[in-house]
Amino acid sequence: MTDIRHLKRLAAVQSMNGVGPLTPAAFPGNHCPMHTALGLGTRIKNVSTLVVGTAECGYYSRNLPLASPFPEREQGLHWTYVLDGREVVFGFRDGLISAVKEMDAAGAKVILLLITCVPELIGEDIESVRREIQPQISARLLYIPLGNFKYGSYQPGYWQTLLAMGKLIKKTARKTGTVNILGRSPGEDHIPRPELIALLARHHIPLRFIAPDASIEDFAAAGGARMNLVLSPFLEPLAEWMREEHGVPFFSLHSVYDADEIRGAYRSVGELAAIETDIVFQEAYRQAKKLQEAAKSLFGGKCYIGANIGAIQPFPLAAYLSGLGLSPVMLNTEDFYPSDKAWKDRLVRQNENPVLCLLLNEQADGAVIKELGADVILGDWGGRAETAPPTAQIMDLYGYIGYERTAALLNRIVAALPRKEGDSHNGTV
Amino acid sequence: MGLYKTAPPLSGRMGALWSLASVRDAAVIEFGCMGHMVYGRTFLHRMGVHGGHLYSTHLGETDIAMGDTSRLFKTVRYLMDEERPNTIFLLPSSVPEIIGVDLDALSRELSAQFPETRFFPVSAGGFGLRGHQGVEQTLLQLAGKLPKDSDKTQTPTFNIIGSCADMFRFGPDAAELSRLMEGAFHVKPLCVMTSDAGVAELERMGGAHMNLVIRREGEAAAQALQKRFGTPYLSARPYGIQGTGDWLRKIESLCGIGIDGVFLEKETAKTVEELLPLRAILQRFLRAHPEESALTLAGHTDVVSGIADFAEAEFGFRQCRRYCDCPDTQTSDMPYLGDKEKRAAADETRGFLMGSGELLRMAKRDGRMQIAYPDDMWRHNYEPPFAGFRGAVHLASLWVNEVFSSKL
Repeated sequence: MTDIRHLKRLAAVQSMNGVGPLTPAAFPGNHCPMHTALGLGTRIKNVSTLVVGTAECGYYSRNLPLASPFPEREQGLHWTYVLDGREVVFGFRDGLISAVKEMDAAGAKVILLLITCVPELIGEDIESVRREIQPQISARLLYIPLGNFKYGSYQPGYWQTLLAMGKLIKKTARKTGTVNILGRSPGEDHIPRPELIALLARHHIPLRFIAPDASIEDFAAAGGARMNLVLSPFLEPLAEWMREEHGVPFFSLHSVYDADEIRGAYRSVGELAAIETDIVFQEAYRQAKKLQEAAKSLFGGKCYIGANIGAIQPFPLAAYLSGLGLSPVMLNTEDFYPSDKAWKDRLVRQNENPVLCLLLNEQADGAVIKELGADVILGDWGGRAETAPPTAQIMDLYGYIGYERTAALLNRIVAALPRKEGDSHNGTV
Repeated sequence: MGLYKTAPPLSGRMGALWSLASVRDAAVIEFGCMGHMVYGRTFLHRMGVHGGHLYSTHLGETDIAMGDTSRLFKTVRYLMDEERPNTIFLLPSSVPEIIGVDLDALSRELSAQFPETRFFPVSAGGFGLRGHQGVEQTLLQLAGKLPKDSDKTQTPTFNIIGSCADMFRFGPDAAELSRLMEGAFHVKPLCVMTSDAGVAELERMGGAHMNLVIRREGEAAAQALQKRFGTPYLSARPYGIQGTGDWLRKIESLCGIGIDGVFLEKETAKTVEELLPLRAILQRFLRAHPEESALTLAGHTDVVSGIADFAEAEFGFRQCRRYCDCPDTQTSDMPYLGDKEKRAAADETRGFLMGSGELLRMAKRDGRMQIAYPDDMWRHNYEPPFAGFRGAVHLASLWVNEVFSSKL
């Protein structure tokens, strides 16, 4: 079954409504956004959550608070409001208000209202309920709409929650020298500290890490920062909002791959932080340029399918690879971020118009992908062990930025592509 | 249903899914948002449930707004091309329940398009239904629709009704009961409904000589089978030496086959021998520490009753506090284990506690004392049972280990 005529191309897609599954039966599919919103909520100290929905939502998600890394006193309250048949018909406003007041009385400081499919569908006006009860309670109440039917995956659970957490940021006229690092934890060690962040640290520039294990206080103080460096797409909507609301400029480093663009971004960061970056990264820049040139000669006329690449965003990656001659023919698109409109326009300007799809059934999707005849598959898929087409795994590059990521990305793709006689290897490429 | 500070009770839809997920040679399709099935499948795998193929159609905003059901038809077409299951269970889901999707009507349409496949719309979709009702309705539906007309098997056979995923250690318990039946009566199971059954076994259920109902939710199904096939049934769940012996003797009366006395005598003697040192240690401890002699049990009503009776009668626990995990089955002797009761049970540091993984974690107690869900562990079907003679030894060892690990 290789018929993909039911899918739309990028130029015709405005939102996730336009992105269909490659094959029809989800087996099992992607997690809903409530899962990640709750997972995030349980990892921010002193944040409480109220999942509003069905018994399925409440029961299955209990493992997340059970696995919270924080001791009970810092854990926050993680409760569930399950709708009954009467509330589905007549609304659940009174019950919700009563539940929130009980959480407030129990000591919650910040309550994330995680509103799932059913309450989203029946149209209860949660925002008006929030506005009505906020003055009556001391806890800060944040509404996060998470209806699964609006989305293709878990990703909005992250960015919607982090965006909502932005409401906790205090207004301040005085900017400090601190740089916010959005999308990385201070103690994170499974991914080496990116080169730029290490440079800032060497210059004793105060860093504030905004990531799942940040505290409420970190969020509250984030508005006084000199700039935001965005390492994860999940934080990009928050960065955009902070620019508008708090005047904090941001640099989206997770979406920059091209060596010149990286140099430009680093230079801009360096100017704001009053440090020099060109010379420091001269060798890394030179290496990345060299790799790009070599890749260009190999990529020309070839095409790829973007499979499951996790949190790496498919459109910025496609725009970059397209510039090197590797054209995207189909992209697994798990979410349509607010910023994706600009990436879509850029890809269309580059004469790229890939088919967009959701990969929800590894076995069935794998068979289709295999038959589509791309030169290489980027990311995980059902044919990961196949040699035709070959696979370049890149999911683990999430969290990396800059020249080091570009080098790793290009080396992996080049290594995966079949070689013709006469292709130069040139060291790494 | 309201506010829950801990795990809420299951929905009827979950009860239905957990009953159907193990049925081999069948597929389950949830016409709904995929998040439920992603969660559900992971939970079921963790509980040791394998067999059925679990799919979701997912739903988008446009499908909801337009009442578009084409995703279901496409999913069925895919399954027909790839797997050709002879039975497809159509699982109700919350969003289609709200927008009024008629699974019965869709099932009829699908049957017309795919006449070689049986479509089975599951009824337990309503928002008022709890997990136990979902299990009950699903078992009844299965017993009502799948069994074919048949004569009794030439050699006696039996069905176990009610071995479903929501019962912690469902697989080991059913295996122990089957072992006892084979030893005591030289009979084999025809269908273990549903944890070890394929569509073919469910179709052959009418040929059994007796039905052993091991939970109250299976009784309606057994009654339906009795009405249609004249199959007698026993509704009981055996725990302990006395309880298991009584259970076998009731089956003897029910089916008219004499117990193999040698087997029963050997099993009883072996169990008594193995329990002897365990009983000596535990009873000495309970006598010396009367403040520790209470056993709190929380889980399925039938499980809690069975273990509590065994603990009191055969081990001398002075008090068994019993809690059930379903608000609809609570009685004055066995209240529902709500948030407040969970907290109180977890805060009690004295005595023994057996309950869900969640409750034991709240109490910071040994997870081996688990007799109910939810938990966050991966389970398999090779763990020891609670029911039957072997279950008696297992339970006693848990209590004694609890003494040594946290009471001395």
